[in-house]
Amino acid sequence: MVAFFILYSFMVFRKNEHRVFIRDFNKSLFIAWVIISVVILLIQIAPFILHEEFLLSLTPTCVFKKYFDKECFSCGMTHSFISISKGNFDEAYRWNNFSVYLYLFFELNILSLLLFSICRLYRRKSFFTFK
Amino acid sequence: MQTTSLIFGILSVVGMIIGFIPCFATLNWLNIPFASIGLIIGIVSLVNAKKSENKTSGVVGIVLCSIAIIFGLIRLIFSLAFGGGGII
Repeated sequence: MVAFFILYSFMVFRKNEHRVFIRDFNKSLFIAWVIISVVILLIQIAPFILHEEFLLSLTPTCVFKKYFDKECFSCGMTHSFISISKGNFDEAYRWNNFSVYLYLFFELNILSLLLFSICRLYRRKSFFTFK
Repeated sequence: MQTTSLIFGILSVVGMIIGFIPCFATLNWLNIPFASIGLIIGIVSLVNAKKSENKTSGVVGIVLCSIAIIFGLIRLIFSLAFGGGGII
């Protein structure tokens, strides 16, 4: 498959079709980024909108904990996100110390997407059009 | 349609990478059907494409979807074989 991919890339470059492909690829990457960011945003908004008990009932018990009687690195993530939404960062850190950094990364991702979109619109480009 | 296939391919590869994280194998149960839809869209777009049309995006979409399906299946098989039950 890798060999096929390399051969195909070589053919594309020979025919000078790569410009069209790069434009399509940039467009696809951007749309994929928007979709992923929307999903992330929904995850972040959920603790603000939905009730705590309802959210906790949606998330299943960790199977790793059930099988091996040890906590995995994602255990307590839902509790932690709920605590962050309430502003209790200490409690969130106690539930899962990794989730605070993950939440920060999510925020940075959404901020960078917003900045990127504003820059594109400022340059008077259409939102999904790539040159 | 070729761009749609490429978007499906990129998303499914992202899903596959997340599925490789321990305890996240469950994601592959969703990701493999998703990648299969992308694969079907890619194949249909290539079949319907005109001769003069650029087919690169469709081909790359198909390749990405195939990679996501194959590696996702391998991950699931490993999970099932080593007692993870397709979840861990």
